[in-house]
Amino acid sequence: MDSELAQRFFESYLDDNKLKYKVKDSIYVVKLDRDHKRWWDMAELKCTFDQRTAKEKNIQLMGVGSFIFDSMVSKYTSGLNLSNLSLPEHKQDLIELNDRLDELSKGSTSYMIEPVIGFGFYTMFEVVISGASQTDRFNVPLLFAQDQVFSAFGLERNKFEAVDMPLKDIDKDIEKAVEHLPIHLKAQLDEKEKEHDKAMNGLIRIQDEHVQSQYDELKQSEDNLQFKIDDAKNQVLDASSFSLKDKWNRKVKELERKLKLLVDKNNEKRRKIKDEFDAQQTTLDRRELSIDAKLLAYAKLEFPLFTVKYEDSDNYYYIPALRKFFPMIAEPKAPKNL
Amino acid sequence: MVKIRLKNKDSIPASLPKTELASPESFSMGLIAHSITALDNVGELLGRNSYAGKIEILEHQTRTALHVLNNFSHRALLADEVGLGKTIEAGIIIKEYIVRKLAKKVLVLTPATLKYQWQEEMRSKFELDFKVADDPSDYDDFDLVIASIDTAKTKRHAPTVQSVKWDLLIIDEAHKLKNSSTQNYKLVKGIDKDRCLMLTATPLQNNIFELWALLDLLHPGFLGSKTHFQEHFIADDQGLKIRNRDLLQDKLGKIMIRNLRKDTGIKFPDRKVHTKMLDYSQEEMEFYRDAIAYIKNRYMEVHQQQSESQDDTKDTEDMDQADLKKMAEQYKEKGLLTFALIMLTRQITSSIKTGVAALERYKEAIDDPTQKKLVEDLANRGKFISGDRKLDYLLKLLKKEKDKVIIFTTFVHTQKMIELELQLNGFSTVLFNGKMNPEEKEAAIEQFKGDKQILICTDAGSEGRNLQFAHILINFDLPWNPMRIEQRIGRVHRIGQKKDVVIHNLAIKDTVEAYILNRLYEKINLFRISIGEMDMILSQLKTKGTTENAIFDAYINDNEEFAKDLETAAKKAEDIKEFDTIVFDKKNGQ
Repeated sequence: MDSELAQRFFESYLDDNKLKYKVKDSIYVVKLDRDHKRWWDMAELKCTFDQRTAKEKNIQLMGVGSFIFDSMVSKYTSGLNLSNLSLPEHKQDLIELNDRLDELSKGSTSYMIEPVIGFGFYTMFEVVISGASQTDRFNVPLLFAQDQVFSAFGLERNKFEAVDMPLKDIDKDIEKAVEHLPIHLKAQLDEKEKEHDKAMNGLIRIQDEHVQSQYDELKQSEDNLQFKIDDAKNQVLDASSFSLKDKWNRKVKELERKLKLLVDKNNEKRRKIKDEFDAQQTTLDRRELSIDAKLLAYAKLEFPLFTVKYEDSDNYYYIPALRKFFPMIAEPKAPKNL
Repeated sequence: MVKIRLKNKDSIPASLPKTELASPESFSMGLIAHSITALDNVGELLGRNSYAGKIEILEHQTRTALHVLNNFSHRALLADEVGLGKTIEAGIIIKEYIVRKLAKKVLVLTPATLKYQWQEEMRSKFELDFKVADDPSDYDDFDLVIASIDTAKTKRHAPTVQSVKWDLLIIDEAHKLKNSSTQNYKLVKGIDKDRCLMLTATPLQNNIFELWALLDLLHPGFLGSKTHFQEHFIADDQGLKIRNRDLLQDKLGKIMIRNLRKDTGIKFPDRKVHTKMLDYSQEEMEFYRDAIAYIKNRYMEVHQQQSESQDDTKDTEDMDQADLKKMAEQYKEKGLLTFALIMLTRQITSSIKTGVAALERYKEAIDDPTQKKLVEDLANRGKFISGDRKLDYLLKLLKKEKDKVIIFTTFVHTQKMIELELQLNGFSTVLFNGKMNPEEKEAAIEQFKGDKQILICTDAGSEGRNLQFAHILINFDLPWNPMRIEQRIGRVHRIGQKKDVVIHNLAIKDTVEAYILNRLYEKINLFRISIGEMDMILSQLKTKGTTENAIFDAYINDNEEFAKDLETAAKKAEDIKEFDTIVFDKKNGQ
C-alpha cells in the first residue's frame, strides 16, 4: 500500500482520537492520552513513515506490519460503517477529465461533456469464497447510481462531506446490491467453481481408490484361501488311497469352514469400511463451494460526474472521485426514493 | 449461479437516524482501514503439504487458521470448545508463519503438564522441533522454544524471556491470565512480541469482564477501556448480561474464534460407563479400616497440635523472628504430613500391596518409636493379605475382551503389580509411565499400536498422548482430582475416535474411592458431562486448596461442605454455559 494513504490514515486516527502531534523532518511526535499510554506501553509515540529516517535515527517505522499501526487499523474495521454523504465538486475535475480523454482512444471524434449530479449508494462487501482447495477473501466496493453499477476502488481517497439527513431503505439497497454481487463476480466465481470441482474430484478419486484397495485386500485373502481349497480338492481327486482321500477331504472341509469364517469376518470389515466411506462421503458432500458476503460499509452518496457523449454514440460516464471512465449503459436520470 | 449468503443481514438496519451515522472522517477511515486489511490476503495454506499426510485437517481448522492469518491485528484468541483441535490450529498457524518467513523466533507458554505434549505434537505432526526450556540460555539459543509458564515467570528465566524479541508468542490455557495482578499476567505483558495467539476452551469462566481483561492483554485497547466496554456492551454490574450483542459479536469476531462442536458437524462418540463396586474380604476390610483409622488419628493430632499452638500465639505481631520461623516450619510440616497421609490413603486404596509398600517407606520417616511400631505392625499385617479383589475382577473383564485396552492407575507400584499378574495370565502388555524417557514412551506407544493388547498407564505418563485408536479404558484406581479423570478419558474420547468409548471404573465398597464416586463425582455427573466442562466446574469451586486436600478433609471429617460446593459449582458452570451461548453463539443465544 502507498505510504501516503497510510500516513493520511495515521493522521486521521490521531485527529479522531484527539491525540496532539507535531511533525518535523518526517518524524511524528505524538502526545498520548492515558488509554493509549497503557495500550501501547509508552509515554510518547515517536515514529516516521520514512524508512531511511527510521534506520538512521533509530526511530520506530510506522506502517503496515507495525503493531501500533495495525492496531489503529483494526480499530476501524469492526462494526458496520453507515453514513449519508456527498462528495464536493472540484474545479480541476473537468481539467482532469480532458487530460484523461486519450484513455478512450477516440482520436478526433467530436464529443460533448455535461456535468451531472450523481445520486445513489455505495457499498463495500467482504466476500469469502470457500472451496475444497482454498479460501479467497477480498473486498468489493461498488457504487450504485444512474441505474448502473460502478466498481468503486479508490473512493476512500476522497474527502467526504456529511449530508444532514437520516438514512432510509438501507435494507432495500443492500438486497439490490447482494443480488448484483454474483453478476459482478461472475468471472471469478466461474473460475473458483472449476477449481473447486477439480479439487473435489481429486478428493473423491483418492477416497475411492483407498476404499477399493481395502476391498481388494479382503478379496485377495479370500481368494488365497479359495486357492488352497481348490488345491486340496485336486489332491482328493489325485489321492492314491482311501485314507489319503479322507485326509484331503477333511482338509477341504476345514478350509471351507475357515473360508466361511473369513468371509463373515471380511463382510463385517466391508460393512465398517462402507460406514467409514459413507461418513467421509457425507463430510465431502458438505464441502460445497460457498460464498459469504459481509457488508462492511454503506452510504447514500451524492457525487459529481460527467457524461461524455461521442458522435458515434459511444457514451461514457466520468466519475472524478474514481478518476475513471465507465461505458454508459443508461441515460442519467433523477433518482427514485432518495 | 452460486448463491451468495449475506452473513450480517440481521445487523443491517432498515433506517438510521442522523445521530447514529458515521461522520465523514470516520467513514473514510473505515474504508481506508478495510482497503489496508484487504492487502496481503492469505487464501491458502502454503505449509499444508508438510502435515497433510500426517493429520486429517478439518474444515473448521483451516478456516480458523486462515482467519488468524488474515487478522490484521496479528493477535487472536483461539477459543474453540474442547476437543476441536486448538493445538492443531495453532500448529497450522505457526507452520504458516514460518513458511511465509513471518516468524522465526516462536515461544509457546503452556502449563507445566502440557509442555511435552506440545513438543511431541509439533514434532510429529508439523515437523517443528521445539526445545523445552530448561535453562534461560535456551531462549536465546533456540528459535522454537516451549516453556512452562511457571518456569518462565521465575526470577531466573523471566529476564531472558522478556529480553528476547519474539516473532510469535503462543499461550495455552490462556484463561489463567484473567487476573492482572498475577505473575503470569505480568510476565506475558512484559514479553516483547510481534504476533500473539492465546488458546483457551473457556473464555468465559465467571463473567465477561474476565474476557475483557484477557483480550486487553492480548491486544491492548482493542475493546477500548473497561469503562467504555461496560458502557457499550454490558447491561449489569456483574458482567453477566450483555447489550448490543451483534456489535459485540462482530467486534469479538475480529480477534477471537470460538468454534462450537455443534457447528462443526463432527460426531463425537458416546461414553459408556460401567462402575463395579467390589467387596473386600473381611481380612482386607479390617486392614483397610485400621489403616484409615491410623491415618485419621495422625491427621487429627497434627491439626490439633497446630490449632493449639496457634491459640497460644494469637497475635503474630508480638512474635519474634524465631517464633515466626518455628510457626512457618510447623505449617510446612503440617502441609507435608497432610500430603503424606493423603498419598498413603490413595496408595492403600489403589491396592493393598501398593499401600503396604507405601507404609514401609512412611515408617522409615518416623522418629517416634511408638508411631513407628504402629505403622510396622500395620504393614506386616498387610503383607499377609493374599489376592487382590480389583485384580481378580480385572482379569475376568479382560478375558472377555479382544480389543485394545488401556488400564490407568495412579501409582507405578500398582502398575507393575498389574503387569505381573496380566503377564502370568498370558496377556500381552506394555507399560507407559512418567519415568520413561521420550524414546521409551514412543516405543511403548508403537508397541501398543502394534501387537500389544493392553497398555498399562500412569497419569503422569499418559499426559498429552492421543490414543484414540483404542476405545476401552479401565480405571483401576480413581484419581481424586476430577480433572485427572477428564484427562484420562480425553486420551481416547477425542477427534478421530470411531467407536463409543467404554469406561470401566473399579472401586471397593466402603472405601474413599466409593465415597468419591457416590458422594462427589455423582453430583457433577463426572463420567457423562461433555468434554471440557470439568475445568469450568472446578474453576467455580469456593473451597480453598487442592481438590485432594478438600476430599481428604471431607472424607476424614465426614463433612458435606465440599460435596455441596461441588454441586453449587456445577450449577454455576451450567449458568455460565448458557451465558457463553448468549455471548458467542451467532445462531442461537438471544
